[in-house]
Amino acid sequence: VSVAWALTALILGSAGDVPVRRATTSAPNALPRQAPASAAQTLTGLADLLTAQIRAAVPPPPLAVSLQPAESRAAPDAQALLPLLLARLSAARLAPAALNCEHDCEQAALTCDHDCDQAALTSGARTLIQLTLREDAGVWTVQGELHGVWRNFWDGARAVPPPGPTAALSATLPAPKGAEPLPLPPPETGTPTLVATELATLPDAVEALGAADVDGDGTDELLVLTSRALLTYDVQGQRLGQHPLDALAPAPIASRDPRGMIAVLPSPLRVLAFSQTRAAGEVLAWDAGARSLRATGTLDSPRWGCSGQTAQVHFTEGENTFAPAVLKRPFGRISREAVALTCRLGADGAYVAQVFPDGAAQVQTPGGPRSLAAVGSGIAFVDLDGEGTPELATSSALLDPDPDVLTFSSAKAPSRTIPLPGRILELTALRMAQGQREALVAARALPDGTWALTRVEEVSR
Amino acid sequence: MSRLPSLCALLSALSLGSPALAASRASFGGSVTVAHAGVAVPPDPALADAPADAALRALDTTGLCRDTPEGLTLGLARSMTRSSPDQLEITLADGLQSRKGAPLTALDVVTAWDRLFRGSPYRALFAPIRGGEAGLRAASVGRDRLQLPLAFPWPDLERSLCHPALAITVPAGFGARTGVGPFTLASPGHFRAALGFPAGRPFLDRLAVETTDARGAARAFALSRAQVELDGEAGVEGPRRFATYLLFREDRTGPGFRARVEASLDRSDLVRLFVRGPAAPLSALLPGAPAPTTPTPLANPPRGQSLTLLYDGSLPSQRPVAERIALKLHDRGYDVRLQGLERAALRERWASGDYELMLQSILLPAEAGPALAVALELGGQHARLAQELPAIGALPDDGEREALALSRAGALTASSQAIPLYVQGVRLKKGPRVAGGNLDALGVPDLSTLFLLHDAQLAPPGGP
Repeated sequence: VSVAWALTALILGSAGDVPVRRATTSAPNALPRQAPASAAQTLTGLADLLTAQIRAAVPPPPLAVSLQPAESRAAPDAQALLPLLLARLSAARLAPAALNCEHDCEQAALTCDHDCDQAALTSGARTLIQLTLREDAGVWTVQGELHGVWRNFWDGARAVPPPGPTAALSATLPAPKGAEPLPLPPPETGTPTLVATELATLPDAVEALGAADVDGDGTDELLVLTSRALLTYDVQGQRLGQHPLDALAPAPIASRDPRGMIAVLPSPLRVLAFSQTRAAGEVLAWDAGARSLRATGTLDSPRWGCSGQTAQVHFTEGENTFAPAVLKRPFGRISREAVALTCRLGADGAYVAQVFPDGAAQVQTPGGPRSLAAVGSGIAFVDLDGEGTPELATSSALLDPDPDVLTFSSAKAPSRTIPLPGRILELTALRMAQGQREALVAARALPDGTWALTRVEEVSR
Repeated sequence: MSRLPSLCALLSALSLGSPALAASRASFGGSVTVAHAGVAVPPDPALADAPADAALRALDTTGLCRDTPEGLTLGLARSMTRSSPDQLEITLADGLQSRKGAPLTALDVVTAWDRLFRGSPYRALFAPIRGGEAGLRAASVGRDRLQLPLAFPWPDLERSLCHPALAITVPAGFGARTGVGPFTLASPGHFRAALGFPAGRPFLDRLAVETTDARGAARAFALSRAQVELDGEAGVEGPRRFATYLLFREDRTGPGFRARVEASLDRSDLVRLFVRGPAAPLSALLPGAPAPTTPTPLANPPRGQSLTLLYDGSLPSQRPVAERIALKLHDRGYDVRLQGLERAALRERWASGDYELMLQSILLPAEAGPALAVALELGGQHARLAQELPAIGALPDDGEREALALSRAGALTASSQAIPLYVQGVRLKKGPRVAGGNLDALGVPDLSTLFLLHDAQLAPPGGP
C-alpha cells in the first residue's frame, strides 16, 4: 500500500505547479456601480461577495482566513472587514478562524507562502484563505486565493500541490463616500506629535487606573489601585497619598492575575475602588485636611463607571475577567467574559468598549457599533486634541510585544501610534488642565517585575 | 540589621504572586497534555526530586512557597515573616483541604517535614532550627501558625523551605498520602484545576500527563497529541541543580579510594557520552565552587577487591554511568558489581549506611548555603553542619553568603565521602500555542502557570 502511495505522490509531484484555477461556479465578484455607500455598507458588501465565492468553491472546513491591508491606511478597514467575513463563513458552517500571517511575498521572504500554510496547518485548518484589501481612489478591492493546506504524510518534504479546491477570490466595490485616500500627515513642523513622559515606577502590579479631580483644583489626579493600596498621583507623577487596603479581608478565592476597578461618582466626589484580592471594595472621599483619600464605606461588588454613571459588574471568580452581565444604559451588555471595559460619555453620546480574552473588541460609539479583531488589554477613550471627539487608544494584542505599541484610532483622522517598552496592560484618560485636552496614562509591566506609569500627550511643535 | 535586606526581599516577593503578564493578558481555560519521558512519579515529594518529577509532583502536591528567580512566590503559606531575627513565623492560607477533604493544619506541615528526618538528605535544610528535630516538632502554634526558632542567623531559611522535597503531604488512609496543589487528580494522568488554590487557580482547566519513553514523548509532541514535552531533545533550559554524587564508605573501600576514582574518571567524557539531557560536569560539592586539587593515587592498588555499586534504576542516566564507573574502577583493581534499586530503597540504604558504593542524585537548593548543607549531609558530614553554617548565615549580604558557601564547598569536597560527578537540568518544550510554565530558581518548571494563546496573541511569522 505504501508503495502505491509513494507512486501517487511521485506522479503528483512530477506534475509540477498547478496553476491557480478559478472557481468553477461563477459567483459575482462585483456589484454594478451605484451611489457610494457608507464604509460599513461597503465592507458588508465585500464580505457578502467574498462569502459567495468561497462557498462556491466548497472548501473543506475548518478555514483559516488571513486578511491583510495592501497599505497601512487600509488597516482599520481590514480589521473591520475580517469579523464581518468570519461571521458569514461561520453562518455557512465553514468553521473559520482568523489567521495573522504575512502573505505579501514581494515584501516578505521567499518562503512566506509556506509559512502561512504551516501556520494554518498548526491552527488545525484544512483550507487557507489569503486576502488583501486595497483601497484605491474610488474603488475598494479585495483579492486573494483559497487553497487546501492538508498534506499527505507520505509526501514527505516533496512539493506536491495540496488536495482540495483551489480558487482565486476577488471582490470590488465603489469606495464609500468620504473615504477617498486620506492624506498622510505631512511631517513638517506645526503638526501635533505624541510625547511620552515617565511619571513613576511601582514595585506592585497595577490592577486598575482611574482619574478624577479629587482635590478640586481643576486638574485630574491619577488613581492607581494595586493589591496593597490605592495611590494618588498628580499629573506630574508626584505621589500625593496612599490609602492601604489592609482593613479589607482577603478575597476567599484568589486570582493569579488579579484585576481591579476604579469608578468615580460626582458631587460630592467619591472614589469607588475594588481589588480582586479583597473580599470587599471601598468608597473613598478626599480629606482636605489630611490631603489624602479616606474610606467612608464599603462596596460589595466592583463598579464600572464613567462621567458620573456607574454600573455593578462582577469579576469571574479566580480569573482575570469580568463576568457576563446585562447592565443599564449606556453600558449595555457584557456579552461574554471581558478582559477590559472602558466607557466615556461625550456630548454626542456614549462611547463604550469591551475587550474579550481572544483579542476581539466590541466598540460602541455614537457613530455606530464596530468590531475590532486584535487589540490588547489596555483600552481607553481619550480626547488628545480637545476637539470633542475621543480617540480610542489600544495596546498591542501580542502576548509579549517588543516594544508594545499604543494605537490611537478615530473616525476622523488616520491612526497614530507610539511605541513604549514593556507591556501596556491598563490605560486611563487624564484631564491635564481646564479645558478639553486630555493625556493618556499607561501602566506598563516591565520585564524585571516592576511597573511604570507613563503619560502620553499631544504636543504641537 | 541582618534581617532588613531579606525582609525587603520578602516583601517585594510577596507582590509577585502572579507571573508578569503581557500586553494582552493570559486567558484562563483549555487543556494541555504534557508528554514526559520517564517512569511514574513517586508519590513522596522527597523522592520525586528529579526536576521533571518535581514539576509533575507539584501539580497536586505543593509546599509553602516557590523559589523563583524573581523572588519568593507563596503557595500554601499566607505569610512568612521574621517576628525577630532568630524566629520565622509562618501562617498557612485559609481553608486548605487535602483531596480527601481533611483540613491541612500547621501540625500536618510539621509532621510532613518530620518524615524527612528518617532517611532523607533534605533534613539538612532544617539544620539551622534550634533543637533540631525536637525544635521542628514543637513549631506548630495553633491551627495555622508555625514558629521556627533559629539556632543561628540563617537568612536563606524562607527560600530553602520552598524546596520541592518539602512539599506537604497528609495521610490519606491505607498508608497513602495526598497533598494540596493547583490541580487535583481526577483520574490517573488527568488533572483538574483546583479552583480554591491559595495562589489562585491555574490558568488551565485540565492538564493531562502522558508518561512514556523519550521516543514516545517526541512523537506525541510532533503529532500535537502533547503540547508540552518534558525532558525532550530541545526546549527551554533553566539552572542545573540536580546533582549526582558517587558515595563511598571509606571503611569498606579501603584507603585511597577517592584518589583512584579521581585519577580514572573523566567527568566531561561521562557527561558527553552517558548522561541524558542538559548536564555539566561537577567537580566540587556544589556547582560554581572551586575544584579541589586532585590527590595522587597510592602506588599499590588493591587486587580484586569486590565492591557493590548501588544505583537508581528509575533515572535513565545512572545505569550507563554506573557501568562506566565499574569499568574504570576495574582498571584500578576493583571488582565492581552493579545493583539497581528503587529510589526509596536507595535512600533507605543511604540512611542506614548499608552500602559500599552508591550513586545518589539530589536536587540542590538554589542558594549556596542550604545547598552546602544538603551536600554535606549527603556526604556523611552531618557533624560539620553545626560548624560551617553559622559563619555563612552570619553574613547579611546574599552575595557574600554565596561566595563563602561556595569556597567552603570547594574546601570540604576532599574530606566528603561524596565524589561529585555531574549536574543535570530539565528541558521544557512548549508548542506554539502554549506559554508560561517558567522554570524556577531550582530549574523546576512551574506547570501551573501554563496557559494557552489565542490567535491574536501570537506574533506574526517573520515579524520582529
